[in-house]
Amino acid sequence: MVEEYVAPQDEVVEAADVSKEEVTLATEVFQAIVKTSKGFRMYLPNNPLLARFIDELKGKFGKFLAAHGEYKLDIDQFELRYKGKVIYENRDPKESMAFKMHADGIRFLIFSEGIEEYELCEFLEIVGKDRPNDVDDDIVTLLWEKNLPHLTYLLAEDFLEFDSVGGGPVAPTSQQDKISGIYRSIAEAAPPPSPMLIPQKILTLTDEETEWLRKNREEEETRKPLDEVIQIITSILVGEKDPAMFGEFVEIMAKLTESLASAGEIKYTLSLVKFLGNLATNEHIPQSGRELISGAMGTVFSERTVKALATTIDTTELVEPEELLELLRFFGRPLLGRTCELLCIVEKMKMRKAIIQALIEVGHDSPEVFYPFLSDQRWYVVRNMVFILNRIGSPAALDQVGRLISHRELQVRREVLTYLERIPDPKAKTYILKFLRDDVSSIRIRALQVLAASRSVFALKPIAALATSEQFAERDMAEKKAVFEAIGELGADQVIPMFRDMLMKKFWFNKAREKESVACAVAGLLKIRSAAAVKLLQEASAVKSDEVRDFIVHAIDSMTAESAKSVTGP
Amino acid sequence: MGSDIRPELLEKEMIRLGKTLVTHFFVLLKTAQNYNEGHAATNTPIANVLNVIREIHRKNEEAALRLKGGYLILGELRLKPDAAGFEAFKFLMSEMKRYLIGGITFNPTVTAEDIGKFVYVFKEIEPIPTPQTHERFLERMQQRMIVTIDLETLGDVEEGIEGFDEAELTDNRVRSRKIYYQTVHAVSEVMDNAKMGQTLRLRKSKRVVQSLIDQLLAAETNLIGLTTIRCHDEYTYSHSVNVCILSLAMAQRIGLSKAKLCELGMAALFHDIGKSEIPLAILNKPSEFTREEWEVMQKHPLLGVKKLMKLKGLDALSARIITGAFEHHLNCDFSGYPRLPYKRLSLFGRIISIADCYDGLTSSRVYSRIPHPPDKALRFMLARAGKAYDPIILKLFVNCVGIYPVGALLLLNTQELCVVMENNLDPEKWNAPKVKIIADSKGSEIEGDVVDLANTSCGRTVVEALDPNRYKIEVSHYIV
Repeated sequence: MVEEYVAPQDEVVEAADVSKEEVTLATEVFQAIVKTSKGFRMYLPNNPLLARFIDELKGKFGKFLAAHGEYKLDIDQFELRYKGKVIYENRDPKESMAFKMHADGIRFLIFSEGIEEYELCEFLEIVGKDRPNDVDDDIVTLLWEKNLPHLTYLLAEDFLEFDSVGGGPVAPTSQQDKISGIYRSIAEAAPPPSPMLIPQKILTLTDEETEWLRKNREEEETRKPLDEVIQIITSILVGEKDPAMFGEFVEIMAKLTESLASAGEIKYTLSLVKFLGNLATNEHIPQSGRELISGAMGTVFSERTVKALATTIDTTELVEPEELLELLRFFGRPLLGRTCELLCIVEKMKMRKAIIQALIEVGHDSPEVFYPFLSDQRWYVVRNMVFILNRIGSPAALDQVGRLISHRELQVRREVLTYLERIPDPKAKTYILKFLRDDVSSIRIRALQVLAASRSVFALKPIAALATSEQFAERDMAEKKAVFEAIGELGADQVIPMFRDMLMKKFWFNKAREKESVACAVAGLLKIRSAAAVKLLQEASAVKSDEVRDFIVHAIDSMTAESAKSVTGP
Repeated sequence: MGSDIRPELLEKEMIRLGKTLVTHFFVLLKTAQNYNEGHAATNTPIANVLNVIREIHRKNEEAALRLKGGYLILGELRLKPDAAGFEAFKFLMSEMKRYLIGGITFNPTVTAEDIGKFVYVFKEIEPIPTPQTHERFLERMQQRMIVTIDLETLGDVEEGIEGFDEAELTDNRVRSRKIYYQTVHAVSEVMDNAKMGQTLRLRKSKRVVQSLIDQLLAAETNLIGLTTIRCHDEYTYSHSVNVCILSLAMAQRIGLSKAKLCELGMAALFHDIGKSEIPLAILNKPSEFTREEWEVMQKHPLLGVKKLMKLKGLDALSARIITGAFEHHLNCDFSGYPRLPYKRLSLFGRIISIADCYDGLTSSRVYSRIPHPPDKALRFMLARAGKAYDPIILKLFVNCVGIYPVGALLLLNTQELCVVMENNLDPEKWNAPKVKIIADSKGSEIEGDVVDLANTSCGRTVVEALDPNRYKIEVSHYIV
């Protein structure tokens, strides 16, 4: 990138008709313009630094204009000159202010005395902004529309010679023969009647008519051009009989709807999609026409639209979640895949919620639509899809979801476990058993709790085996307790002998292990809550040392209170 | 002159002060548009205007701006705008014309308060010119007790073209003509692209429309005069430009903003873009259309919409062009085409429809093939007011072009032949336009003067409006 060059003061060469001081001052003014222009791009309008730049610029301009009346710049492709002296040069087309103005045809720019702050700001706003080449609102148009009183420009075309644009038809040098013809004709004809004038009263605008014009002018200033075009195209689709023309406009309407969707104009999109939907079922339209519309509707929510809409959603506040939800509901089942794609790329949480809601509602009977996304590389996509399947509660997806038990991402596995918990199919619980081998303790605990809560007795044996495995000793206390709680829950009185061993066993030189063993047994017995369980605890409290007795007594109290509660009722 | 300085220096100084007054008054008008009366933002512009008035009075000169022959004058001195001040001159002149103000004199006792009140009268009066506009302006000034500023009526000051710098008038005409052909050129480029199915780029056209608007605000008559050019080889293009000029002339009287004028100008310029899809064999057919050909021709509004949607895409500007292309043959009572369940007509559609029809009727390359002279075309259209054309906009149109529109060929009581150059602003004088004598009483073609027929001392009245097409007279030759 070429560095921006604003002629430093010592490089300014004195010219015959311009003093060094004048050129120096002109250079300083443009330096201030460049700095403020950058400030406009970097800071918010209320930023104090930007306000300072503007003040400095005003000061420089005021000083210059007071001394020299006007500030006139010649604009070359990459340079700006003041009275023939280069005061600015930047050869980077993306950055160069000279290039931007030159490319738009501006050849002279003149700032006059009295220029106001708002004019400077408007100018910098217009010139500083990056605009795509295909946009018709170029610098000239914007300056022209702003009508800034102290800023004038001259364009390249202002210097074009008349002939270069074609002088039009060359007028005949004389039309005498034709004029003579008129006079001959007049002489031959009867004397002309007095000219019939149009009565003035029918030409004078009344107060009411003036008022009507005023109202129309005001309406025109606020009219929404898009509404007009939509009305036009809808009327064409409703009334056009020529099949070829009808087909062209179906395509146009589909493209328009697609563009509106991409731009986040959801209200418009929705109304057009509804219109097309109604038209597709209108019996006055020939079958071929209706098929055309149905086909076109499928193209509205394209891959391109999805990407553009996602960008609009994430970068603007144009789209409301409720509107988006309604639109996606209307797109319905045929476009579920695209809606999933949208969910994959939208980042705003509240919008993702709306999309998920739409997918839950629309995809209720079509869980298979979500399957391809379960193998997506993006974990959050997979998590969202499992979440949706969970909310749908579709057992049909069990095997698909079951494959994700060992997904690398914890949040996916957690979501899978939630899904499996919710599905009443017993097969789901066998999948949960696999979570006991998960790397993460919290997942294993949750799996134990789910199995226990669902009374999955088949899990007792594997859980018990887990409790006796070598690795079990390394697990933390919370997990150990969860294991014995599950054993208690699932095994009931049949596992009391196991808990008796754990309670009564003495660890002569390892009090900590003894306490742990008692705590795990108590946790399991608390889940059993039978008379045998209470009796065992009472036995243990009589023989155990003070350190663990209090703990056992507390468990007995808790169980007694619980059973009293269950007898007396709530 | 009671000043000590030399006359030539004083003249130079007065011109400078005049230009400064115009610029400051322009800034004040613009500021008043954006802020309510009494707002602090108007203080400096008011003070600037007052200072320059005081300076003029100190030199014992009259602080009076007058509109004469299309120029602003301070006392006896013509103020010629430089590049930097062009916008201010243009704006002030158009505002004065809009309110039929021929001159504004600031008396030596004028105060900042008076100037402050005066500038807001512009805001209070509806700027659509009617015979009552000027009276209302004066009434409003009386109500506001502004007695230190005097106004003159435009008709009283505007003495016509006689006595003015012919070279300057020619400059203006040359400029108008240049812009006209630049516009034809720009239209032809876009239409050619449309024909070849290439993406439509409207930037250049937009520029020329902006120039047209600027020129229209500065010298409306010259541009309207240019619409009399009948360029047979490029009928579609010159017709488009004519419709654009005539539409803009109407719209600027309605007081549309510059941005809206630009949109309308573009819509008018490309109202026939759909014709780029009509086979040339039909478009240029020298004889009457068959029923089938007529049906093809009637498709051009829809083809226009299609072209624009496909080749331009939808943005605010193209939406307005689409509306113009679609609506311009619908007719006020929707009896036109395309016949579709569409029952609204925008202001743009109403305006373009009238401009299109008028230019079509007065041209020789249209479907009817029977060109009308301007006055007959107006009668024809007035007979269809309320049916084909919006009656109020049509009235406004006649207000623009006059009973004898620019380009009308007239026979005078003196047996002289003349072409209408400009209409009088006073409705009472609409039957007596400013004309250029093109043949003497014996029928010899001459380079005659421009005469204001409203001036009774000239002894000339209109006897008959002739059809220039019947005699194959190229009236534009005399106008532009």
